[in-house]
Formats: sequence, structure tokens, C-alpha cells
Amino acid sequence: MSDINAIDMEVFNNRLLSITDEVMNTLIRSSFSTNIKERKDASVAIFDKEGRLICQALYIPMLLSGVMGGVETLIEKRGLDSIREGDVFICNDVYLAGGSHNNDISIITPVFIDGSLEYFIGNIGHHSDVGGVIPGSTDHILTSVFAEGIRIPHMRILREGQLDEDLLYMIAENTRDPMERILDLKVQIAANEQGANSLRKLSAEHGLDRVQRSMTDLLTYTERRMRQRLRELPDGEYTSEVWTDDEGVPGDRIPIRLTVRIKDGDVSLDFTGTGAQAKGAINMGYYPVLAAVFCGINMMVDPSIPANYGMFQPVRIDLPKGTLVNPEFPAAIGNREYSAQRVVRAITLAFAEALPQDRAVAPSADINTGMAFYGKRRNGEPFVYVEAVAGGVGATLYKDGMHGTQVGITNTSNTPAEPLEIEFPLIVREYGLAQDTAGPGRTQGGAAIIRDIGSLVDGVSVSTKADGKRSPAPGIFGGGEGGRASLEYHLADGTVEEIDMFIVDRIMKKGEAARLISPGGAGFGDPGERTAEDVARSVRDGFISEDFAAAHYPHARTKAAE
Amino acid sequence: MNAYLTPKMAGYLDRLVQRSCDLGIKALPNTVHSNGGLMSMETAKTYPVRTCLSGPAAGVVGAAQVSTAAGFPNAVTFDVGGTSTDVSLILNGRGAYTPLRDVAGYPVRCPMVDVHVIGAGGGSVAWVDDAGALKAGPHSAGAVPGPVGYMRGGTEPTITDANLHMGRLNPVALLDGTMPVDQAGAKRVIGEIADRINASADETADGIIRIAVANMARAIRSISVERGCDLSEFALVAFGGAGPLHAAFVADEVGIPNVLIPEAPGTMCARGVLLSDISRGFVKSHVMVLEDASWEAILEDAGLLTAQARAWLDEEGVPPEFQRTVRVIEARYLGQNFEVRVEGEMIGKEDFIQSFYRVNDEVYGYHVEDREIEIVNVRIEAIGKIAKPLEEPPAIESAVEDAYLDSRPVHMGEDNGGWCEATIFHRSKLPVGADIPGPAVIEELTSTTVIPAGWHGTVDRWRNIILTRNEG
Repeated sequence: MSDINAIDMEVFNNRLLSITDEVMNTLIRSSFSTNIKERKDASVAIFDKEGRLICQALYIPMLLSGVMGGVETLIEKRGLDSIREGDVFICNDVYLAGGSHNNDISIITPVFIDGSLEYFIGNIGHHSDVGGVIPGSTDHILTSVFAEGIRIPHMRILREGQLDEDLLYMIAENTRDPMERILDLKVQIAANEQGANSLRKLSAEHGLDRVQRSMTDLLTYTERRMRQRLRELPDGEYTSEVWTDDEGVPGDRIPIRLTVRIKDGDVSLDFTGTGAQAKGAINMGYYPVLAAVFCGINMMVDPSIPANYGMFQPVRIDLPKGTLVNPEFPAAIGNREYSAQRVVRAITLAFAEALPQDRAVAPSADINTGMAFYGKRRNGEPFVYVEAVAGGVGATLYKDGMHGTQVGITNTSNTPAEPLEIEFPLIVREYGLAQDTAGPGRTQGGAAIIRDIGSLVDGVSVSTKADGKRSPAPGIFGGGEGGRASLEYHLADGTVEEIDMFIVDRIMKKGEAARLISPGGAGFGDPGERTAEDVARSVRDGFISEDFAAAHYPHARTKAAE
Repeated sequence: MNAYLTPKMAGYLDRLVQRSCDLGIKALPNTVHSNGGLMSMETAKTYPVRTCLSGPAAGVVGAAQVSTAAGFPNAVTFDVGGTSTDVSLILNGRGAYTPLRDVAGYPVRCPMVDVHVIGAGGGSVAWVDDAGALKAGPHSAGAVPGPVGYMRGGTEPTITDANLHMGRLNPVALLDGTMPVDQAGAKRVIGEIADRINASADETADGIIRIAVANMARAIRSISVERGCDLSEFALVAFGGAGPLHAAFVADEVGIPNVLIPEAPGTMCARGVLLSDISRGFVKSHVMVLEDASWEAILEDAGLLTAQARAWLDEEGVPPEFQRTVRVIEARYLGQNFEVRVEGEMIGKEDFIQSFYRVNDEVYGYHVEDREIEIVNVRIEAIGKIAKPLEEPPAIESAVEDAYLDSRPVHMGEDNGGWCEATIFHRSKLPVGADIPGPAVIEELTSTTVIPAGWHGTVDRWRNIILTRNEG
């Protein structure tokens, strides 16, 4: 292992991460878009001069490949020779620029030292609105990428140091809050410039060669570490099949079929057999698939491996054209996170076969269910409020799954009831864990969440979806499935409407409410092997009812009833 | 969390008060709270949640007073113990606070001194993973078995062992000669790990320290960029047993020009308690857009809260002449999610707006004139000024030569000339005004200060050691 300088590699990795941390901090603190500020739906990455990802600041796994897509396609389409000192690029398009979805706009800054291109630094941020048919721009019911807001191929937002005000103006005026877009895009540009200066300073202080040598060492090391982990798994072919709940728009479930082939430190993920692309917006571009794949593989194989180009080297991905995971233009892609969660589920299931049992995990509530409200604030200003609801986590060999937690490609905080009720004319009528949603098993899944939000005024629009109702989390090694999602609409007089799957832009009257129960986590192992004490404890704590215990754990019934 | 802690804390504090009475101590004890002030036992029993992380908070308060007195009102605290490094910011003489943080995985929403903790301390273990990377921590050998060189059964190389190998720590004994160490043992385990990464033992020991320093530096950069601070205008206040050992190297890495090492660096937290005032915040959340009517309401709230604050100070037994209140309005631009603190007794709305702009400039580097401002909280900080001010220590009659012990080879790092002959001093005999050029090592009971070449250390009138990078 003498080929790498272990000391410099670690020291410079820390120094480079300090730079991405710093740029990320600037983004979060200075931006106006709530998605960047509050949910940290943004990422910052440094690349070497060939565009290989070196390191990244990241809170939300969905953005793992976000900046990378922009940089790789920039080099592929424009060529390194076309880039001049002082150029800065902007892009978001999935089909043209390796984007994630239209809301996620990347700013890519090539970093020149003594006249030659030495690094790239890029950041990506989720903009609350980029135009299109619906406020907020993404919605699973949209059927074309043209409906999802402005599409930006790689464009120079700065040309040899000069900001292109016309382009900025054109982009901003294609959105619902031009002022906020201009401020946030300027913040993104300035944040990169800060990072570029830090990269120049680091190279000047320690020598360009030494920094670049450490970057190469880091990639060599990471690839070797990834192969090492893969070699520990038995060579073989492992398959899984999971399903979406619909097509984004109401429709049939779509299968995602995965064959994982592991051979001597290499792994291929073949999605042949996956269903045709969806009519609605749950299709995935290449880079979102990549993010989901690496989120899944890292979770199962090596959660703390540095996220860089080296990690991707042992992995091959095959995506048949015209399917959910590789749609034909101009399929809508705005809600790719719904399918990304299912891709992670497919990987979790396939690897459960390959891994020792104590490292396997049963599927979780692999959803990204948003509850979206828009209307007018008390002062008459419009508001859009979107939250992602968590669910139950799958069980592992020795432990029950966690309750009410976000998993997979999403990792956002919830908005506490108090500020939500202060900011918007909404009331959180119930927020808690849902009984009888924990998938039965020797170890049981985690419980789902009840989120019941009402309107205090006439005229608030609500949209949501019972994702995970038709395709709940399947149990493993004999465990039972996690609870299915459910959705109700409550009228002011107390009448309850059972909703099949969707509430789309329903205008609420004062006193009406949407009540969503998210899916639960799946069980691990035969429920018949769960001890009577554990069943009784779950009943006593209220996670499962007597009836549920009787139905799924009949062997423990007498004990539980005592 | 408060409800959970109340019965346990109440029982504990009752017993504590009882026992201190039984000992014949007449004064009632106070306790430190998370925001680095004192409160009575009664308050602590009602709000035990306010004692979370109060120990490190006291260290920051102490460091703030010491560094401000020494002429460094803006500083980074750097507290390196056996298992962790705690860093925090001192801004204008006060510890930076946070309104919200996780304690044992649970969010606690009350103001606390913002201490950032990383898993790198003297006992942190150096190890090589199976793909060839060298790491320092976060696993620690703790006090037992501890570093190999401490001879308490440790077998894994630690940061302390690397410091022993390099001669930065006394190779014979620590704690003023009372604790023998095994430098040969430390060198042996460093040599073993060196073989695994194909480097020399010197490179490896230096590398372990550099990796630890890079980790510590990243933590410092992280807290400073979060608040938009320029570290070249800050001092590093180094304490804890191992803080002064690494301080100059960390300062080099982050671009801090001065390092302050207080007296008895190992006991800074306890000293902070003695320098604390009684304090408590009274807050009312009042989320509304700033306009004439809401400004009136805010002033009214501030008046009510001030009355409450005065009443509380009376209850705490603070005489009126020692009572102070500070008004803070926490506000943000409409649509933003982080509020800034605007301190001061502004009466007019326009005065407040100008102050708000100024604070935004300080924190974010910009302000926007025509965007609406949203008030979030009105806060009155009640302070009972009871702490004794810092006292200048008595002068000692000695010369620098009296403090000179000997010299020994010390490895100051690959980038600082490697092995060099360093002069060794004992701190207790260093007079005020002493000026020691690096390479040098200053030893004392609870710590060791390393001065690399290119730095020099002076003793100020508070008997702090001030390390300064040489010009040019």
C-alpha cells in the first residue's frame, strides 16, 4: 500500500472538506429559498481538472450526484478546451446537463491557477419555484418536463468574469419569485467564488502538485476500499423486484427489477425488466439513479466511505432505454425521488441475500410523501408549504426498526407544529405514531406516522398522496410487510372521506383536514419466533393492539392477554 | 427533557445543599447554566434542562474574560482533553451562543454557549484501515488503558504517544516529574504503525499529529464560517491538558496569528465558574412583521419582561445596584429562517432597523433595504453582577534564566524544520515580560506548551503565555 501518501491524503482531504463545508455554510446562511436554508437541500463539490469528483458537502443523499452530473456533462458536451478563465456555468436540465430535476440549479465554477484550469467547484441548490404549470414547479401529476419549469442547458452565467445580467433576468422572470431567484443565484455564484479562492490559496501554500497528488491518492484509496468491501461478499447473482404505487398520475404500479452481480470486487446493477416509463413525473434521469444506487450500496456495504469518483469505479449500471429509470425525452422527472426510494429498496433487498444476516435490513417506509399546502397568509401574502412525512424503518437481525424516521435518499427535518401554526393558517390536529403499522417479525418494523393537518380558513389548497398504500415495505427472511399508507379527508361536520391514493389541489374550507398515515417498516424473520415478552411489551406500549397481536403473533396470545 | 430531569436533579441538589450546610458553610451554592452564567439551586431544580453542557460553558466564560482582559475580545476557545476537543467562539468578549442544539440526541431549545465537540484528544488512537488510510480517532484509549507511554496497559498508539516520540512531551516524566512515562514504548508502537504505511517513524508521528491538527482545524473553520468570522482577527485560547501542546500548529493551519495560554490550562472550566455572574433570559416569542403597531407591542413586551427580570433578580437576592438588564430583539427578513440578535435599548423603530442592518452586515456581509423584517423573539437578559473581576497576579522576582531547565531534541513537524534542539522552561518561574523564541517547550503541572520555530512566546501581565508568529 505504499502507492499512496496516507498522511498527506488524510490531511488534504480534511482541508478540502473544510472548503466544501465553508461554501455550504455560506449557501445555507445567505440564501432565501427555504429549501436551501431550512432543509439544507443543497450540496457543494470539488472536482479535479478532469472533472472527477473529489469531495462533497451533502446533507441529502438525493443530491449525491447533483453537481457531478453538471460537471461531467459539461466536459463531455463542451470539451475542456472551450472553458475560459472567468467563465461560470449554470444548468439544471436532466436531459441536456446531467441535472436532478428542474428545481435544482447548479452553478459550476472552473478554477484557474496561473492561466490553466486546475479544479472545478460546483454547488447545487433547490429553488422553491422555477416556473412551470404548478407553484413549486414539481408535481407527480405533470406529464412533460416542459411543464416542470425552465430548462437550462449549460450556459455561461459569467463570461470571462462578467455576469450575464440578461441571462439571469431571463431565468428569474420565468419563475414565480424573480427577486428571490436573482438573490439566490447570486449567492450560489459568490459562494463558489469563495471556494475557488480557498482552493487557490491552498494550492499556493502547499504546492499545486502536492494537493493534486493527494486528490489522486484519495481516489485510489477509495476505489481500493470499495473493492475490498465488495470482495468480502460472496460472488453471485442476487435479484429483487419492487413496485411503485402508480405512475405518478393514477395508473398501474410499475415494477423495478434489479439483478446485482458481484464478482471479485466488481459489482453490476442491471435494471433489465424494469417497467416502461411513467406517464407522471416519477421518472428518473441518469444522475438521480446514480445517487439512489450509491445511497443504497453505501448503506449496505460501507456507510462511511468518502463520496468521490473512486467509489463509483467498481460499479457498473445498466439502464434499459424507455423505462422508469431511463425515460425518453420529454418525460416528466420532477418527482424522481419517489422512484429513487424504490431503487434503494430494490438494492436493500438484493443485498440482503448477499450480506451476512446481521448486516441485512428489512425494507422501510421508502417513501417521499409530501403534504403540500398553498394559499394566503394572514397578511394576504401567498404561501407554499411542503413537508415530507417520515415512516417506519425496517427491522434488523437483533433490533426492532426505528419509528417515524426518514430513510434512504431523503433526510430532511420536519417543521415543528408551533412555527407551522404561527406562519400559516393551518393547525396540526394530530401528530403521532400510528398503531398496528409495525411489520410483524422476529424483530418488528418501526411504526408509521400520523399527520393530520387542518385549515383555519377557506381557500387553502392541499395536495398529497398515500404513497406506500399499494406497495408496502415487504418483510425479509419470513417477516411480514410494514403497515400500508392511508389517507382520509375530514369535512368540517366530521364526515370522513376515505381517499384512494391522491388528493390533488383540493381547496379546503375552514375546519377541513387531510389525515395521512405513512407506511410502516417491515419485519425481519418469522413472527412465530418473537418472544411472548416482546409481543406483550409492544401491546403494553401501544405500538400494536391486542387484535393485531392475536392475528400476527398467535403463539404469544395467552401471554399478551394476561 | 426538563420533566425527565426534574426529580433526579431536585433530589441531588437538595442533598448537596443539605451536606454543604452540615459542613457549616453558610453561603448557599449557585450552579452554572448552559449559557455560562450562574443560577440559584431553586432555579436549577425547576429548570434542570438549563444545566446541559454547563461545564464546557463555564470554560468558555472563563476564557472569554481572560482573553478580553489580555486584549483579545475575539477568540476561539480550544480545549483539548483526553478524548475530545471542544471549540467555541468568543465574540466581543462573550461566548457565542446557540438557541438550539442536540443533547444526547434530543433537541434542547434554550440558549447555550455554542460548544462544538470532535473526537480527537490526547488518548485518540491512531490506526490504519484495510485500504491504507491513516486515521487519528475518534476511538480513544481513555485514561485506562490510556496511551502506551503512560504505562497503564495501553497497547494502541495514541496522539500522546506521537507527542512523546517527537519529544514534545517530556520523555522522562509528566506532572512536574511525578508521573514517569515510557518514551521507548511510545516509539515502539509508532514504529509498528509506520511499517504499515511505509513511512518512517518520524514521518508517522508527525503525520498522526498533522491529521489530528487537520481535524481540529476543520472544526474551528466550521464554527467560524458559520458566523462569517475572519480568523486572522482572532486569537486562539488554548486550554485543557493537551490544548497548549497543539495550539501553535492549529493556529498555523487556520491562519490565527496569536495564541493565548492561560495560567493552569487544565483547570479553566472551574476558573470560569468563579468569573460568572448570575444570569437568566426572559423571552417572549412574538412572530410578526415589523411595522408601527407591532413595534409598539414589542416595546410593551420588553417593559413587561424587564419587570419580570427585575423581580427574578430580587428573588435571587441580587441587590438593586448589581442588577442589569439587556434587551435583545431577535429578527430576520421575512422568508428567512435564521434570526439575528439585535442588542440595545432602541426606542424608535428606525433606530432598530438601522441596528438590524448593521448586524446583518456583520453576520452575513450584506443587508437588503426594501425587504420586510420579521420580529421573532423579544428577550430580556437579567444579570446580577456578582463575579469578582480578574485580579492581576503578584509579580515574581525571577529572570528568564531561572526558568530554564535544559534543552532536548524535539521534532517540530516536517514543515517546521523537523528535529531541532529546543530549549525547555518551567512556567512557574517565568517572569512577566519574558520573551522566548521557538523552538522551545514550556512545561508546567497540568500542561505542556510547544513553541515551534517561527513563533515566540511572551508572558503578559496576567501571566498568560502569548504565542505570536514571527513577522515575515
